[in-house]
Amino acid sequence: MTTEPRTPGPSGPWRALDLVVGLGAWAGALCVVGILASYSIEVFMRYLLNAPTAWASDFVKYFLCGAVFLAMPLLTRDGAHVSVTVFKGRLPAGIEAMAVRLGLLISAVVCLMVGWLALQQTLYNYERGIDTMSLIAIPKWIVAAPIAYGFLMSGLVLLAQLVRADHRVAEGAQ
Amino acid sequence: EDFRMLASWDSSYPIVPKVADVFAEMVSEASGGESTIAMTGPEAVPPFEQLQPVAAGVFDMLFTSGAYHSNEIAVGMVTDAIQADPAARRDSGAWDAVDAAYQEIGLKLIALPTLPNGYNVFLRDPIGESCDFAGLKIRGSATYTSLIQSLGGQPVVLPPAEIYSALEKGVVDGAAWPVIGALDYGWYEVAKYFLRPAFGTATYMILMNLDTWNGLDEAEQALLLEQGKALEVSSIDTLADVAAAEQTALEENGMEATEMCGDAAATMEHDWAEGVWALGIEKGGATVEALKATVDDAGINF
Amino acid sequence: MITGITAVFALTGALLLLFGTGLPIFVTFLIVNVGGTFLLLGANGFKLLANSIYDTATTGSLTAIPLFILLGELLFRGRALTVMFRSIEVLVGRVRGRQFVLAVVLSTVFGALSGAAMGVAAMLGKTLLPGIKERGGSSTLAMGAIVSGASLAPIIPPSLLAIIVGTLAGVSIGDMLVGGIVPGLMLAVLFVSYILIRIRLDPSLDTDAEDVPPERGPGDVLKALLSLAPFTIIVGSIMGFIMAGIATPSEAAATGVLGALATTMIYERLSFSVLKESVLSATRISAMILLIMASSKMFSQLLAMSGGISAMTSMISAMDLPGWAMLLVLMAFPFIMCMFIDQTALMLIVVPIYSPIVAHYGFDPLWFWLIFLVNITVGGITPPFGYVLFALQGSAPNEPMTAIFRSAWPFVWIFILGMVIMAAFPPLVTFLPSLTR
Ligand code: NA
Ligand code: NA
Repeated sequence: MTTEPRTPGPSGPWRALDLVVGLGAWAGALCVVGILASYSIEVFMRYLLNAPTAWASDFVKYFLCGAVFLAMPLLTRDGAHVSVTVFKGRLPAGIEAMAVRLGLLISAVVCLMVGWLALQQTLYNYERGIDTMSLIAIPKWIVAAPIAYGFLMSGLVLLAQLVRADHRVAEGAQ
Repeated sequence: EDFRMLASWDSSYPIVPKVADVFAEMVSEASGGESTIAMTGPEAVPPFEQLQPVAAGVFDMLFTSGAYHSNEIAVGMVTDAIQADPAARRDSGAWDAVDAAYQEIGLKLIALPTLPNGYNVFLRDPIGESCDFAGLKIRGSATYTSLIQSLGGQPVVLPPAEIYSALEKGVVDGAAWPVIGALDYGWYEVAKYFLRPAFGTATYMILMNLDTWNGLDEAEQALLLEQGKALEVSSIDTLADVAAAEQTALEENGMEATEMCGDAAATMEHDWAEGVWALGIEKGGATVEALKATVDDAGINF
Repeated sequence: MITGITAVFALTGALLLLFGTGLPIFVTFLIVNVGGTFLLLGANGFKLLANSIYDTATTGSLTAIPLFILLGELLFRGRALTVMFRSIEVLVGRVRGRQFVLAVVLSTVFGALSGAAMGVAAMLGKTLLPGIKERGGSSTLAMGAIVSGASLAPIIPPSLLAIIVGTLAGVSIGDMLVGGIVPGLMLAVLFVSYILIRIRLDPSLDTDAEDVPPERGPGDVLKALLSLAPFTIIVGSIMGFIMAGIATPSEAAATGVLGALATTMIYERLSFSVLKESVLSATRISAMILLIMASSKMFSQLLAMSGGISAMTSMISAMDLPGWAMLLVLMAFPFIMCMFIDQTALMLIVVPIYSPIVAHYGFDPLWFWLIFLVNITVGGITPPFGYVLFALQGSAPNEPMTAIFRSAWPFVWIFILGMVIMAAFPPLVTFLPSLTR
């Protein structure tokens, strides 16, 4: 007889993590607004004022990158990533719990590794002073940085979930 | 030695069979089959991301255009603003200057195959009596901005995939593009004029990873450089033929030339080149400035 | 080092195996990509992996994805969609399998409003699916109707895929767009026919008897049509703006959102909370989809680098086949590949190689590439890898992925039937564009 395992009350580090994840998602949402605004301004300027902007068609791409990867940790936190759930609910509870934790661990390792690679690329862009390929060039590291953020934060979120899941297993075990 | 070459275009783009494949054949033949070059296209690495993997040694060689990595090094891009005279490019020291700049980022220059009169503008309507782009919106990348503006037009940035419908619907009135490659996009269906004179040179680059290069014995190095030098000479005519064939094909599809008139006809190319150099200096600083001085001294600027 | 066709099987095999573990799909792609990159290129190659993510995430044409999803979210969250649903319900009237027919009709209409299937699938998954289940209808049939109906969006203009295919293949994009209208409508008719037959054979699939349509007199039909009129703002601000040369297709996605905002305001006061929720939700769904696209890009690059894809494609073109058989082979290959990899990436590899074959065999390019477009579109709903399937699961997270897979297959077969009809009767594709020339 098990009761619903209680999640340990969110302590300082968890809350900080949640806060960053939430803020990131809002920044991502602002990027979507940025795409909408950039295109709208471009159409308005070009069609009505005959003065096309030099930045809109490039900035929408930067916003797209920001939208995806700033929001990514939120998806990770909410377990909202798409997966092929063939075996879900078909395994014994104990094995399933183990599998879930193994999945969290693997995902965390992959996210941290790719995040680290993305960080290396971001630093490379920063150190070499590489700009984006566009009419109005901006430093490429600014555009690339959300990728590193998205994967590294997702990795941390997954590790946090792993630790919490271990707590739950320990508490729930009779 | 078997080299892996990364190319910025797939083999349906005439430049690849006419330049890169030809170079591979020349090298294979000159080495008696000892050295081969295997080609990998942009489906393996996106064109704008190809410099770094070659510099890092993931691939041995790169066939590209300087404009595709102008965010990392500007010296390649400005070669478009140097006249298509292989001998003068080398004698003036310009070739060595470009080579030296690339060596600093881990790449060895092998050849600069060049298409003279490399660029033009496709237009929906012929050039009017005003002899300029006044009131026109012209699609163009950074290198065309100053030309479009100096002719009174408005530069518009569009990805290649959107040029067709933008021309068709009049979102833009024209599009600046190399003289080779427009045929495949089918723009002749929606823009009936190409601007003459064409301007600038489309200078392509064959580069090699510096470590790979340094690992070759002297005979092999000499062979590659020799074939590169020969390629530069032969490709001028080959590429001019490709451009002529493409122009004929465009004409068969109902396009015709529209001539720039008035003073602009004479100053157009110079304005374009100045724009390229200005952009290059902005990004590449003293290195590009020095190259421009070399080119100016040799009288092979536009 | 593995190369050629072996590499294709090794990499896709590893991927499928990992899919089965239930790990997030983007993670499985990254595992295979990290492993494959290391084996093929060594540790140096990891730079390519990070760059491939950057390259995908900054692809201009993909900016339309969040915008089209946002358009759907705005319509869905506001009263506008309710009005639209009601009106179409009235117009559809009392038929067997009403809810399912509604799914196809709605997705046809949304197909004319949107350029991407994922947004439509996500929208209908949220709005229509719960209602059908509540009323006791078959969720499998409903999900099939939704993913297939949503797949009309890239066929009926506006369509991003048509623009990409047209550009890559050098076919007039205007013709590609106009040419999709008849096949799109034909497929919608085929879907409805299939649904009606299924329900006649097994009435238990249908919703409960108490699901009665609103009574309607002639006045109601007129009223329904009138209340649909504001939606012409959206169609106008997408197709109209493109046709009139005011906006590019991507920009039209943005003006479409503005049109949706205007439409919503006609029906109600637009609240800040609706706006907020719509934007956040659009961000989440598009991030989910684009993260998979970004993570999968390197997979196609690895296939290309190992020489696997080109080995397979040159094997195909080396077969000296009669025209119909070559058409079959050329269509079968992307169909099978799209079960496993990203359609856009596949197109990048296949289209340049197909173009000379198409010319060699004397196929009408518009006809060929439109069948190809439908084929690629189906790739979005062929299990196990399909963005439309993922989008539906994203909006209906309680549905097991396996159930979604099962629901899609019958409609995949109908798509194939549709392609056969298009292949047999070329004027279905070519007649309408020939009028606009
Ligand atoms: Na559509
Ligand atoms: Na698929």
